[in-house]
Parts: sequence; C-alpha cells; structure tokens
Amino acid sequence: MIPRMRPSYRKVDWSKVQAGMEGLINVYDVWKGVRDIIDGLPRAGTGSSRCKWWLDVLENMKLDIRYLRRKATHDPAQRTSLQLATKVYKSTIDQSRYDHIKNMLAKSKNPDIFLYIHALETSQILPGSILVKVNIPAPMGKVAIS
Amino acid sequence: MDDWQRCGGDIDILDHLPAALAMSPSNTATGIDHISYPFNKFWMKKFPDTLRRLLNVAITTGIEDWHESEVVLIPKANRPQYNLVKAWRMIYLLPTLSKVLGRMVLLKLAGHIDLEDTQFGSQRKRGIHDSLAVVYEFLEYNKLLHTALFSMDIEAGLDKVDSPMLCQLLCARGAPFKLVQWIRGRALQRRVRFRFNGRISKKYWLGKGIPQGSPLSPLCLVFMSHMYSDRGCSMGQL
Repeated sequence: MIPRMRPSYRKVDWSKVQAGMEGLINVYDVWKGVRDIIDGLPRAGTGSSRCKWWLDVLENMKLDIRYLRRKATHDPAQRTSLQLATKVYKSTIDQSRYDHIKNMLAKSKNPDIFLYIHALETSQILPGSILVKVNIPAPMGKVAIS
Repeated sequence: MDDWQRCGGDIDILDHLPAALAMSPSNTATGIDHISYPFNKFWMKKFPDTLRRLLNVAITTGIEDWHESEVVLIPKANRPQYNLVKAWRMIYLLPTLSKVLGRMVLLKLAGHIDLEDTQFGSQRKRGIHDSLAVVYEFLEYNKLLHTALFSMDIEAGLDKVDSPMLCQLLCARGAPFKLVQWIRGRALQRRVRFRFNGRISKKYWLGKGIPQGSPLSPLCLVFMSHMYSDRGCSMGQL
C-alpha cells in the first residue's frame, strides 16, 4: 500500500479547523473527530506542477524497478527479471504519454485536430519526439502540450 | 498478583502538559497520524480543556491508535551486503500526542524516582560534560593507583527490554501505579508497520521491548541497565 501524502499545514485555513473542533464535545469522540479534521486538510505535493501523465501504475512500477535493481546487484539470476520489468516500465511510460497527448488533442475543438490525431496514431515516432516536432495551429492560438 | 500490581496510588500528570508541549520541537515531521507539533500547540492554545480531557482518557484507558508506530528502514552506509537486517537502520514514527504524553510521564517520573548521582542518561540538566567531570574526578582521586575504564554497549537494548520486569523495577523505585500501568500497557500492546521502498506493510503485534522514538524509552533502558549492573556487581562478575 502506498502511504497517503502528509497534510500541508501552510495551506490550512485555521478558522475552519477551529470551527470543526468547536463541535467536539464528547471526550470519547474527540480523537475520532480530530482524525477526521486531519484527513480533510489539504495535502502536500498534489499541486498543478505534478506531471499529468504520471499515473499510480507508473509509481508502482518505479518502486518495483527499484526493488528489482537492488536485488539484482547481489543476485545475478534477477537480472533477467530486471531487464524485462524495465522494458515494460519504459513502454508503459511511452503509452501513458501517448494517451495523454491524444486526450489533449481530442479535447480541442479544431476540426483539423483529427488529422493530427491520425498522424499521431500512424506515426512510429515515440511521443516524446512528437512533442518537439508537432506544431498545432488552433483558432484560439497554439495548443500547449506539456 | 504481581509486585507491580500491589503498588497503588493515583496521580495527576496534566500539570506537566504546558512544559511537555514547550519541550516538543516545532520543526520536525508529522507523526504517523499526520498531526504535527504546531497543530498540538494550536489545540492547546484554543481548546485546552478538550486536549486535557483527551490526555486524561489516554492515561487511564488508553487510545488504540497511539500504540501504533511506523518503522522506516534506512540503509546504513558502506555495508558490503544489504540482505542482512543489521545493514538497515530502523527509525520509528510515533503519534505526536503519544510523545507529548510520554514527556509528561517522564517529567512526573523524574520527580518521583531518585537516581544515583552517577546516572546521567535521560535526565534534565545532566549531560555528557557532567559525566566527564565525574570520570575526571575519579581519575584524579586515584592518581597513584592503576585505573581502567570499562564501557558496555547493549545491542538492540530497547527491543530486549522485559516489560513486566521493568514495571517491577519502577514500582520498587516508587513510581505511581497509574504511570506504571500505562507504561506496561504501552509496551505490551504495540503494533508496528514497516515502510520500505515507498510502501507500507501490514501491522504486526509486538509484545516485547519499548518503542525507540518515545521520550520515555531512554529512562526505561537506564533502569534495566542499572539492574543488570547491580546484578553483575552482586554476583561478583563486574
């Protein structure tokens, strides 16, 4: 199980916390009430700067790769597993980026965008390279792909 | 009935709450329950009665969540192999309010229990400089004699503390029954989960030892080590 992100106490609205704690009267419910308040606080590390295509599956794979790499340093029999897992990990990263770009293009209302989606699907270039090459004109300006 | 059950007495430790909160650091990470020390201080400032009542419940009946701890495994540097347990350092994360309660019990125990003048561990205003001064005086006094220093390290001392024996020792030293009962319950009802490689494991029950990160644990270890040294001296082994 991946642990939950810790709360960011800098983002906390203390007046709301105070209002929530004023309702805690019964002493046997105090601890449960405080835990509920803490669970409702804003969490750290979930801002807009987070990579959009980085999924929880990829996070799990990253941890597995790290674990296998550590095992493979002492056990040569694990190197095959490490190589296989690394290939799956990299291909999943490519697929995730590809899906993210495709979804972004599909949301655009420009009818020419379907041509670019078709070009993207028939292209053999990795999506990371497409990001550099494709320049998409749109009525409201350029579509920003990040 | 054990010896520790025979010693009675009721005690109020809530007087030490402001001092225990003042002793708590404000720039450390949150505990396993994601409650930080600034939150505890905010709680004490705005709703002191609620906090006092909660701590009173914790010292009398106990709160189940406060027995949990999370162990973070950190690899030690320059080890040839990391498939051994000794190559990893274990850091315990405890609930912060549990640590505040531990500090309150520590302050109360310090007023009830008399330790020897040569006891320096986990005592306020007695540090390494005082212990060095005692050793220096001893060497000066025995200048004309042959002198030797004997040092002893207890490997994994906190994990090997026998809690029933610890409670008997505390009772024999005059610790209040309520605090001894709390220490015993805390030692016997521990639950631990491990954090390794970014993931957390299931919970494991521990019925032995005392938690590593608790402010009270060094004092308990001092009691146990003092008993071992006394036993060794009485048997003529030291």
